[in-house]
Amino acid sequence: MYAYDHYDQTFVEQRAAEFREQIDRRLSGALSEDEFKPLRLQNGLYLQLHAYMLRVAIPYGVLNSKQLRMLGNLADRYDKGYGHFTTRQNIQYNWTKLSDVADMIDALASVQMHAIQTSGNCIRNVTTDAYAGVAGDEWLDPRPSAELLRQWSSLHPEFAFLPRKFKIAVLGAAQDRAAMKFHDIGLWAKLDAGGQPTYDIWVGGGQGRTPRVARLYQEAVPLADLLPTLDAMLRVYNLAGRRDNKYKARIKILIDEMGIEAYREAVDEELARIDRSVFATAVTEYQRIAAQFETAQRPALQGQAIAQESPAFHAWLQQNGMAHKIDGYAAVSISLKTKGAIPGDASGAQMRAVADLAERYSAGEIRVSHRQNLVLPWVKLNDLGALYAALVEQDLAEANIGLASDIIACPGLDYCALATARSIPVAQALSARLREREQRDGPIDLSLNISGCINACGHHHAANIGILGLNRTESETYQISLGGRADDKAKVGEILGPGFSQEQVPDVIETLLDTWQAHRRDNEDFSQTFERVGKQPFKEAVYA
Amino acid sequence: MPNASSNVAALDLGWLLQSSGAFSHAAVPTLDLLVEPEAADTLGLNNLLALKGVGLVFKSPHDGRSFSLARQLRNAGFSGQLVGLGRLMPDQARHAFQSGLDALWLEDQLVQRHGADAWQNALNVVVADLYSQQRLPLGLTERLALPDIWQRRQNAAAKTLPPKHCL
Ligand code: SF4
Repeated sequence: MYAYDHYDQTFVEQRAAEFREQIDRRLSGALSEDEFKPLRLQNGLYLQLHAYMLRVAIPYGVLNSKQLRMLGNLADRYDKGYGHFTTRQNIQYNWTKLSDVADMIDALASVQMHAIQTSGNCIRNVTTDAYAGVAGDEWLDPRPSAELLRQWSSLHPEFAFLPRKFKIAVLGAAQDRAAMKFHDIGLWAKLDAGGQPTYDIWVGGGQGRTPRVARLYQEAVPLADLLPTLDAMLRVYNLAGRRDNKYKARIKILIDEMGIEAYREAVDEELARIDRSVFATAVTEYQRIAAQFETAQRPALQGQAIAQESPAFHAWLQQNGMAHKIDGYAAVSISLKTKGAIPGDASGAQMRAVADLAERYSAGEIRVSHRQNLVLPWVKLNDLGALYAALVEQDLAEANIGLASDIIACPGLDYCALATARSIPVAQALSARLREREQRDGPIDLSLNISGCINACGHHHAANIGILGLNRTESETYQISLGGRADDKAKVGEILGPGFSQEQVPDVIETLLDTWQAHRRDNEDFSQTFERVGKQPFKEAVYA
Repeated sequence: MPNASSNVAALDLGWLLQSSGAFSHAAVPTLDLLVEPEAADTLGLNNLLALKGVGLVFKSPHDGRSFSLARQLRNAGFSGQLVGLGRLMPDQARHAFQSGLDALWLEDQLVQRHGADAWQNALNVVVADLYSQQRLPLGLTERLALPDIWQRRQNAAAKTLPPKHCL
C-alpha cells in the first residue's frame, strides 16, 4: 500500500485545519450558505433531507485495517452505527452534525484519511479496480497511476470550481471492473514495448439524464505526457463547459456539442502552450509510488492447499473468490448484500470485525469495490476455511458477488434531497426475493442496479436490469431498462416501457428473469440473450 | 487591440490583496481591459498578450473560469499584471495566485462581510503547498517557500543518497 510520508500527512492536516476554520466562519455568518456550499462540498459535506452527510474518501478503494476500524468507530460515534459504501469506493455517513464534522475530519487525518474532493464541482476521488495488484488478468497495477492522479488533482488551483463534478477511473487489466467507460475520463493503463506505462484516454462517459459511454480520445499516451494532457483537457472543459444549465454541464455534453474533433483541436492548442517543466517531477514521483506498491506485494507461497470443507464453503469460494495473480493466495469478496439488507451498508461492529479479519488473514489490507462490497485481497489458500467460518459468524458470508441479489442502490428518498423516489426499500424487497430464488434455483448471473432519480448514482443505466425511481402524479413509479452493462463492452440500457409501482417491482423482475431463462441459449449471459432477441419478448411478458 | 474598457474607470476605491500578501485600501490598479469569462473567446487570447494590465472578472463563487483564463494567459506568455475582481471569497485567493493572478481587487462590502482578517490571512490559513505546482508569480513563490511537494521530496531523497563512490 501507499504510505503517507510527512508531506502527505502535513497536507491532509493543513486541509483539516482549513476546513475547521471555514466551518467557524460559516457558523459566524462571515460566509454565506452560497459561498460555503462549494467549500463544504469540496470537503465531502452535503446537506441532505434530514441531516448533513459526510462522504469520506477511500482513494482508489484501498484501506488498511486501522483505517477501517476508524471508519467503524466514526459510524458508532457520529452516525447511527452505520456507514454506507458507495459506487465510487468511498464511504458516507448519513447522520452527521455540522458541529461534529471538524472533529471527524481530524480523526480521519490521524489515520491518513480525509474527505477532500469527494463531492463538489471538482476532480473527484479517483477510482479503480477493487482487485488492483492481485487480479490474474492485470498487466499493470493501476494504483500508482491513481495515487499520482490523487496528488496532482488534490487542491488543483484551477479545477476546484469546474462547471460540474469530474470523475476519473483508471484500469490496468483486461476486464473493466470499475465502470471506466462511464467516467468523465477513463484511463486504460497498458505497458509499451519497453515496459513503460502508457494510457488509452477515454472521455465523456457518464450517466445522469443524458447517459453516454465514453469515447476514445487518444491511445497510448506515455506517462510523461499524461498530466500535461489531462491539464489541457480539464482547462478546455473549465473554460468551455456549459454553466447555464447544470444538467448540461458535464464534459459529455461539451463533447456532444463541440464534437470530439473540435475538442481535440482545442486541447492540442492548449497543450502546445503548456509549460511542461511544471510536470518534470511527475515520472520520478510515479516511480517512487510504484516502488511502494511493488514492495507491498507478497511473495508466492508454495504448498498452500484448500483443505476439505463443506459444500457451503465451496459455493462461497466459487462465487466470492477471485483467482490471484500470485501463487498461494486468493482474493475474497465480502458481500454487503445479505438477504434483505441495505446495499453497501455496514455497521461499526462489522467494519471492526472485517478489520480484525484483514489483520489475521489479508496482510491488514481491505478494498472497497465499485459494486459496494469489500474485498480481502491477500488470503492464503490454507486460511480460507478459517476465514469462511469467521465470516459466517459475523453474518458476512453471503455467497452472491456478481449475482442479481448483489444489487447496487443509491440512498434515494430515504436520505437524498434530490431523490424522486425511494430506492432502499425496493432494493431490500428485491434482495430478499432474488436471494431466495438464487438459493432455490442456483446463481442468477446478471447485474441489477437501482437509482432514486435521474441523476443515476445507482448506475441503473449501466445494469443488465436497471430500475429508476420516478415520481409521477404524486406516486412513485419505477421505470425498468434492460441490456445495459458497465464492462469493456459498456452500453446504456434501453427503457422497457411504462413504469410500475413499488409493490409490483419484485414480480416484474421475476417475470423478466423467467423470460430470460426461456430464451437463453446454452450459457449465454443476459446481454447476449438480450442482443439476440431484443426487448420485445420481455415487453410482452411484463405488460401482458 | 482592444481599448481600455469604460467599466474599469467606473470602479471606486476598494481593497487590493497582492500575491505578496500586501493588503491595502486602494483604487483599482490601472487596467487596460476587464475581461468577462464569456467574452474571452471573442476577444482572442493573442489580442490580450501585449496589454499591461488585464482584469479578470469572477461572476460567482462557483465559477472558476477566470482561474483557467489566467493560467491560459500566462502559458501564452502574458507578462503584464493580472487582477481578479468580482465575487470572490478569501478561500479562493490561493487558487487565484496559484493560477497566475498577481492581485485581487475587492469591493469594500466584500471585505467588510468576510472581515479584513480573513482576507489578510487568506494566504496563511489555507493549504499553501501543492504536490505539483503551477508556475507562480514571484511574490508568492517567495512567500510560499517553493518548490512544490514533489520537488522537495525528490530534493530530500537526493540528499540522502550515498555518495557516488559507495554505489
Ligand atoms: S440517484 Fe438521485 S436519489 Fe439517488 S443518490 Fe443520486 S441524486 Fe440521490
